[in-house]
Amino acid sequence: MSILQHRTALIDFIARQTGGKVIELEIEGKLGGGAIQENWALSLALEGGSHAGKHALVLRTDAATGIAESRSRVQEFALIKAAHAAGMTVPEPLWLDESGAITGKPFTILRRLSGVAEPRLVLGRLSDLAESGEIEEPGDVLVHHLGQELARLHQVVPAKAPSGLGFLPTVNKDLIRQRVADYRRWLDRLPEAQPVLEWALNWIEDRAPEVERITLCHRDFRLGNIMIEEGALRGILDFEFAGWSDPDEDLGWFCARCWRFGAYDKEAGGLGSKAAFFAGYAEIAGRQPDPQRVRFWEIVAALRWALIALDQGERCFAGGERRIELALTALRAIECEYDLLLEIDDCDAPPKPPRHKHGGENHGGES
Amino acid sequence: MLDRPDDATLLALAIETLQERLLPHLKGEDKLTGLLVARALTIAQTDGSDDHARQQSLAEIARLLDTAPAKTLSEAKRHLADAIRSRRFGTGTPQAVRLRDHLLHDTAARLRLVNLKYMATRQRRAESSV
Repeated sequence: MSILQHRTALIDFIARQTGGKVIELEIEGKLGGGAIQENWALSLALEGGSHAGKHALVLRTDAATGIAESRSRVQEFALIKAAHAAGMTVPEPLWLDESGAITGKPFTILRRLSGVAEPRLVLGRLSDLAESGEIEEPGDVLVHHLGQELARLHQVVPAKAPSGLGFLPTVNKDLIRQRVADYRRWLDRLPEAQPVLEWALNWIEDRAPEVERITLCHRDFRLGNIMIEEGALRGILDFEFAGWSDPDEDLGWFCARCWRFGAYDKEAGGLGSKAAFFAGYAEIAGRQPDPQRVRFWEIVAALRWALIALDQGERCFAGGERRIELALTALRAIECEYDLLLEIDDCDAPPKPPRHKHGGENHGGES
Repeated sequence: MLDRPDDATLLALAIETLQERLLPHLKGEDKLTGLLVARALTIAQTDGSDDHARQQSLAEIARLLDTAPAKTLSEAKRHLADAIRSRRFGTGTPQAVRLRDHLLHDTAARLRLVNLKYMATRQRRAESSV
């Protein structure tokens, strides 16, 4: 059932939450993106109460089917509040209905941010900005800022966690072995066997570095979940996968090849250099990320994205959500498998001798 | 079951019609959906005509597992996945190298079907490491 049919109930809900009088509530329509959630743009005018004035908002609720890893709206609301309190630039979390009584499903209402999250639009605009010379190295400026943002989130640690995060499963320094076991169970739930993913999991299990710290992690920090306007950050979205983890997982996820959207030479999210991203991170975190550890987590990222892509396909094939977008997303897993085979090969290769200016064989443009 | 037109001819005609008569008239979200439909049909067309690759893959998995070929590729991949998880191929052994080569060959073949452009961007050698 569409949110549009619940306008009156929503007006009552907002009035109760704010103690004000709703002068106007326009449901502008469903926003793009969010394969697992529905996002609706709302325009609100309130008289009196805690939030008098006009507001551009987003109502976020579950789509018809989800995926196993995804958190509930109630949990996601608590995570956004924690990120907001830590100083991360996120949409201000306003109200939550956990009962499902208003629209038939729990929902959250957040302040709507300006800008776009669509990767191609962001990359296109950055390219224009770079060509015009308006901003020098706009991608590096942006990833430097994103590194700082991530470091702010990573300052939230289990020992000093807000009480609202009590639902998060505890993890310890055995995190990677736990993940390997989880991912094997995940593979067991899929209808088709995945030999490449099994092979990659063995490698991950064998090469797992020691986990040195556990912090709150976004776990889907990438272009597509970041609102950007004219090359500048407006806010971080989508905390549906957030939880305790090794902070290098977030760095690896952002830098993984599968999240560069075709801009493969820009190793930090398809936007800029790892050097700029790591420098921004180090400024707030007080530690320089270890490139080898980040590389390891890039490999885990390719594996995890392959599993998510296969799950997305199952939402179509077995979950009753017959959408061609989901069916084609399942095929993205093959790209990840190819990446895993080549990246693991690279990691296992002995260090390359220094290249001479005009000699040697070029194996590709990646640094 | 059909002889004339057969399923391959019908599929080819459907793709041509979509691309030449429908897609030029679509706009916005409809255009994107149309492109996705065209992509799905093209992948299905290529995959359906590649029975030789399926047979090759079955035979290679049988060689790797040292068993008779399975009845279906799905069954063969299940056996292979189980063998990998149980560490049957060891590390650094000739069997492990053959396994990695098979996985790379098979993945490259599937990737060529669904996204040749992605493969090209890697600009990497994908041949055997033996």
